Amino acid sequence: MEPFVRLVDIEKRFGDHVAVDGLSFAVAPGEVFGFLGPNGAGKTTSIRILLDILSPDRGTVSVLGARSALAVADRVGYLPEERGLYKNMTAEGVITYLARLKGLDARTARRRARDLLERYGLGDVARRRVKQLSKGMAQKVQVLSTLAHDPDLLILDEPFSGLDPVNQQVLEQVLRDLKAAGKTVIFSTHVMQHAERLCDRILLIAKGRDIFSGTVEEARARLDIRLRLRTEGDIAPLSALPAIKRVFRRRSEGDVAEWEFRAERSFSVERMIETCIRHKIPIRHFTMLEPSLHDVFVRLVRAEEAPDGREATT
Amino acid sequence: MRGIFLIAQHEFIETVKTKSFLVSLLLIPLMLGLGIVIPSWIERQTTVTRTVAVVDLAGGYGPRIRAAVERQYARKALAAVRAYVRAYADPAYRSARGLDMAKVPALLLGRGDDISDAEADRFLAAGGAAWALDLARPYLRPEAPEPKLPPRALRAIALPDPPSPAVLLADPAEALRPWLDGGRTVAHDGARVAIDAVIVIPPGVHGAPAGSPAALGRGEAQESVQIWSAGALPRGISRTLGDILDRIFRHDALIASAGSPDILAADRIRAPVLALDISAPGGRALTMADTVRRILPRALSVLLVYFLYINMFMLMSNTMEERSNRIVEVLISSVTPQALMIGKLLGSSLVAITMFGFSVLAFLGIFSVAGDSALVEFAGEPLGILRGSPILPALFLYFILGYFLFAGIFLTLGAFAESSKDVQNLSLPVVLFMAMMPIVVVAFADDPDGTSAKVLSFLPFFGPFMMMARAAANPPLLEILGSIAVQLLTIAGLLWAAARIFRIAILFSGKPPRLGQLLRLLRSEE
Repeated sequence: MEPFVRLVDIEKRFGDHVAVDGLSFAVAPGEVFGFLGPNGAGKTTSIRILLDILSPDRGTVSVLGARSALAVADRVGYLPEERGLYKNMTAEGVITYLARLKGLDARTARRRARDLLERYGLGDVARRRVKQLSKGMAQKVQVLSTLAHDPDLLILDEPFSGLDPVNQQVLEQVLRDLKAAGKTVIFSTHVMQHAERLCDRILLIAKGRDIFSGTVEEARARLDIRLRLRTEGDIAPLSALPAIKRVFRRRSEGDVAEWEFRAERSFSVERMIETCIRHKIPIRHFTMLEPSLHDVFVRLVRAEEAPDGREATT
Repeated sequence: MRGIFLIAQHEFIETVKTKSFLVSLLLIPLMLGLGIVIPSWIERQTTVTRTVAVVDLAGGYGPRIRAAVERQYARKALAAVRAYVRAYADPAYRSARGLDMAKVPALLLGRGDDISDAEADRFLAAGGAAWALDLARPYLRPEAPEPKLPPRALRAIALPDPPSPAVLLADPAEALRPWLDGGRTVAHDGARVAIDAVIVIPPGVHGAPAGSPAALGRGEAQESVQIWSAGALPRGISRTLGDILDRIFRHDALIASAGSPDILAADRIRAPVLALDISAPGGRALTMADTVRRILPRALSVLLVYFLYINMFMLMSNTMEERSNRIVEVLISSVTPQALMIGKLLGSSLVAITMFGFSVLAFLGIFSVAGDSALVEFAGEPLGILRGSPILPALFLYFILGYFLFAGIFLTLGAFAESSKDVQNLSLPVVLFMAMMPIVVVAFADDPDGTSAKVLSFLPFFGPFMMMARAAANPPLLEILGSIAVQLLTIAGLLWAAARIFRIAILFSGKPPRLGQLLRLLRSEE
C-alpha cells in the first residue's frame, strides 16, 4: 500500500545551520509513528516541511498522495509544539472555527465540537472562554481541535509536553482510539515511555539526520542484553561464554558479589543457567534487564553527538 | 477562497465582539464630540464674571467704558441668539440662502456680533437676550431645545469712594491696593464682589498714533490709561478692555477730526461684498455650505489618518496575539500564509470600515443633538453636503485605499511582534510617518489645484489623503484615476512584499529583524 507520508532526502538550512540533513522516511496508513529526537534535532522543522509550512531546500514530500499537505489539509490534523488558542473564544467556538477551516460546514463543525468536548469530559466548559480554562483543559481543547474534522492523518508535535500525568493518560487513550479507528498518527516526543506504549514504528533523529528507524523491538535490539547475577562462586566459566562482551562487578556483600554481564542479543540465557549448574556456581539472584527505549535513545543520541561518532558504552 | 472567507469572517466577528472595539466605537465619536462640546460647556460653567472699576480723572470716559462693556456682552448674547435661530428656525422661515429676510426680524438675521452701539443699547434696553429669544420664538421649530447663552465675562462699575486724584496720581499702587488685594469689596446686585482690575484714566490723556511708544504700552503713566490689577488679568479680559479703549479713543479722534459725531456713522459702513461662484449656469451666491464644503474634506482627510492609525494598531495587535499564542501555525497548516494574510486584511478592513462609518455618522449625530447652537448650525451643513455629493463615496474610497496601503505593512510588522512592546517599537517609524502626513496634506490643501497638491496626489501613501482633501475642488477625473492607479500599484507591490515576508515572519523567532534583514527576507525564496 502507498505510504500516507513520504519524505525523501529532505534538507533544510537556516543560514549556516543545517536543521534537516538528508532525512527520508515513510509512514504507512494506519500506523502510529513516533518521531523522536533530542532538542534541536530537527523534528519540528521536519514536521513543518511535511505540512508545507516550510519549504525544503532539497528533497520531496508526499502527503496523502499530494505534493503539498495544504492540498489535502482537510484530511490532516496538526497540533503544533508551541500551543495556544484564541483566549476570548469559547472552547466550542475555537474547535468549530478550526474544523470549519478544515472543510466542515458550520453546523457539522459545531456538532463535532460538542461531541468531542462531551466525550473527553469538557462538556461543562464548552461555552467557557479559553482564558477561563485551566492550562490542562486548554491543551485538551487544542488536541480536540485537531480531531474535529475527522482527519485521516494526525501530526502531533510534542503532544504530551505540559500535560499532567492524568491528562497524559487521556491523550494516550485518544491516540489509541485513533489507532483503533484506523487513523494514521505521527507524533514527536521526548518521553520514550509514550513512544514505547503507542508506536508501531519510530524514527530517531539527531542533528537533522536519521539515526534509527524501525519498531521499538528493533530499537531495543540495538543495545546489549544486561544480566545481573549475585553469587559467591567463580564466574570465570560464565565470562568465557560466547556472545558475552563485558563483565564487571557491581557490588559485594561479604563473599557474595553482584556481577553484570553485557551480551549480544544472540546470547542464550538458558546456556548461562546451564553453565552455572554445571560448574556449581550458586545463583543467589538472577535478573535479565531488557533495554528500554530510553536507553536506546540516550545511547544512539550520545553516539551521534560524540565527536568521533562512536557509540557510547552503557 | 473558502479559507479566505472564513478567516475574514473570523477576524471581523471576533474583533467586533471585543470590549476594546465596542469601547472604541462609542469612545471615538464621543471623544471627538466632547472635544468640541466640552470647551463651550466648560466656558459656560466656569466663566467668572470679572469686575472692573473705572476711575475717570479725565472726565467723560467712565460712563462710555461702562456702556461699552455692556454692549460687548449684548453683542455676544445677540450673536448666540442669532446662531440659535439659524440652527432651529422653522423651515417655513427659511429660504435657499438661509433665514428668509422677508419674514424674520432684521435683528435676528445678521451673523455674529455686528450690530451698532444704538442697536446694542436697544437690545439691552428691551431686555437683552431674554427679549430677543421671545422675539425669536415664533420663528423656531416647536421642538427647539432651550438655548445655551454665553455667560457674562465682564462687568464695569465706577469705583465707589475712590481715592482723591492727588493720592491716586502720587501713588496709584498703594491707593488701589485695598481694592485689588481683596481687602475692600463693592456691593453689586445685593452681593459683595471683589474688584479684579481698576482702570485709571489720568487727566489730559488722549489717543496715541498706532506704533507710537504710548500705543505700544511704553508711554508715561500720566499719559496712559492705566489698568491696575493684582497679577496678570485673564487674556480675554485684557484684550476686551484694550479693544473697548481703542474704540473709544479712535471715535474721539474721528469726532475731533470731523468736528461732528456724525462721522461715527461711517464706522458702520461695510463693503457690499457678494461671494459668487461660476459653477452654476449664470453663477450663484456662495453660502456657508460652500465654506464648509471646502473645509470638510480637509477635516475628513485628517480624520482618515486618525482612524487608520487606530485600525492599524488593532490589526497589528491581533496579529501579534495570533503569533504569540502560536495558533498561527495551526492556521497555516489549513490555509496558505497568503490566504491567511488576505483573509485577515479583508476581515480587518471590514472592521475598520464599520468603525469608520459608525464614527462619522455618530460624530455628526452628536453635533446635531448635543452641540450648542453654533455647532448645530455647522453640523447641518456637513450633513447637507454629504448627502448627494461625491465627498462621502470619496471618503470611503480613500479610506479603503489608505487602509490597504498601510495594512500590509502593519500586518507584517505584527507578524514579527511577540509583545505589545514589540508592537510599539516596530510600528514607531510608520506611526511617525502617519503623524506627519496630515500636516503636509493640510498645508498643501489650501491650494487644491496647485502643483504641490497635484504632485502629492500622485505620491504613494499621500495620494488618498491629498485627494480627499481636494475632493471639494472637483479635481479632474484623470487626476483622480491616476492617483488611484498609483495607490493600487503601490498596494499591489506592498502586499506582494508583505505576503513574502509574512510567511517567514509568523514563524520567525528571536528579536524582530532590522530593515536590512527584512530586505534580505524579501529577496530570499523562503
